[in-house]
Amino acid sequence: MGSRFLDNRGLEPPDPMIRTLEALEGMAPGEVLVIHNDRVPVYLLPQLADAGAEYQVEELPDGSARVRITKGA
Amino acid sequence: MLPRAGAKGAPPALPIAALLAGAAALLAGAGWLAFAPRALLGAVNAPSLVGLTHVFTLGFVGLVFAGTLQQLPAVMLVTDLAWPRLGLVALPLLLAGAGSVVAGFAAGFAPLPLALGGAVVSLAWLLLLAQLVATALRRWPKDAAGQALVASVAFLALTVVLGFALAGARSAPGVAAALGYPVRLHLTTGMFGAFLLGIAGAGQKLLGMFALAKGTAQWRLRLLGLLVALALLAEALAAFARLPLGPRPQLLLAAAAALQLLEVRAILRVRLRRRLEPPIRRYVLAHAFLPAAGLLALAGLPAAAAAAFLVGFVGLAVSGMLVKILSFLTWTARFAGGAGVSAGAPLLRDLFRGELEPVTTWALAGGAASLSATLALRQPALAPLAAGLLLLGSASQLAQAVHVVVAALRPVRSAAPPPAAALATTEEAGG
Repeated sequence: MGSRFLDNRGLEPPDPMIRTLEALEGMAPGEVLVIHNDRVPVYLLPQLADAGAEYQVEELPDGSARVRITKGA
Repeated sequence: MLPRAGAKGAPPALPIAALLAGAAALLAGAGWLAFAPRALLGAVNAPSLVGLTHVFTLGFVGLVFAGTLQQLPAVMLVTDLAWPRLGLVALPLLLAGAGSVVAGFAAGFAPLPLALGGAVVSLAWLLLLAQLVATALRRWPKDAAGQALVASVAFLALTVVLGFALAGARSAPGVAAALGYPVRLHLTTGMFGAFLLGIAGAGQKLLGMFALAKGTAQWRLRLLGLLVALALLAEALAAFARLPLGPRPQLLLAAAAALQLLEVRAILRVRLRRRLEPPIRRYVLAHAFLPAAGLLALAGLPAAAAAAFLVGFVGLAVSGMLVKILSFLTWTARFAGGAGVSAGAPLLRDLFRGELEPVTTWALAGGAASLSATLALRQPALAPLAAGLLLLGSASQLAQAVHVVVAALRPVRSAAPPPAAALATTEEAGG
């Protein structure tokens, strides 16, 4: 299963959230989306859980965050 | 374990406690009104009505704003909150000061609690303003919403300081001689500078996030902020320099309110999420009270117009966002570990009791409408109706807020081992 990458850095809220959810909508269950945001997207994470997606957050030394999202069934 | 909500911001308990205290303050105010509904039929500057107004503004709206400021700036300004534990000092000061101010009004403009409470609330809001400015200085907002948020908190602090000056003018002739009684400036700065601008700025981001709307224009919010600032400058010149400006400030404020209506309409037109969640529908419904307040003002009914603006527009908008923000805050603080969502965690929507949302919305909306009608028509029969509906709506709102927190705090099943997959990408799809 391949993965996709979205660089959301430099975008103002709510654009990172919308880009991420839009991208997820077009993906198949099990596919992986990795996003790179300026910060941990705290308003996105509960919505990912609601959508049945699994995620893993990695905070980077510069304060930005990468989130690996696996789309649920 | 990131990203717990408080990892680089305020401890999550701070905003959560402030939001709950704000909801409790509204219930307390509604309970007071239900106990003495005839307060609505007396003079608008009578101690009980002024006290009730400050339960609403300093207690409900002030505490919700203050709690939100412990979390939202980091999201809106995309940086870490400065002095993340400052709220441990500022929020108790705000609560104690607001209580003292309200007690001062309730006791018939008692000078000591008013002066003491005014000083404490002013200090609390100046601390919160300093925290927000220090946060913004880390990454100064280029967008209109971030700038509006900073400006609105500055106006809120100014409103409170003006209120403190008013309390001083009541008891010290020297203060009165120097400043006069800038009541109108105090009201206008609070209603439009703090509340309208704050709701417009935070609302552009929050409504955009919750309705999934992108690409809204910046010019409306910038122009709205400019109109509010010009109107308040004109009001200040009228208050302190005695300049005869006629209705110009009010026209500027009416134009600013109209821009907020257009802004919400524009956001909703480009949203991806067609069916809005109940708290967001309450936020949108709040805007119906803006034209109603304008019409009441045009009809020469300023008290009814102020009630429609404050309880209808501000009250419903703040109530909608309170419930929504509280659910995100508690869920994220409790379940959103760095390795993923905790096993057994409820869904965000499971934190809500669905049956309470329409009760909150329609009781608060009906309460605001009947409150305005009571003040406009001076009908004694309407006062208990207004008080009863507001009591019902605020009780329902508090029950929902408590349920959200309790549901998030319930024990969950034992955590599953975290996913071990490393971050790896094989295909670039965005830039």
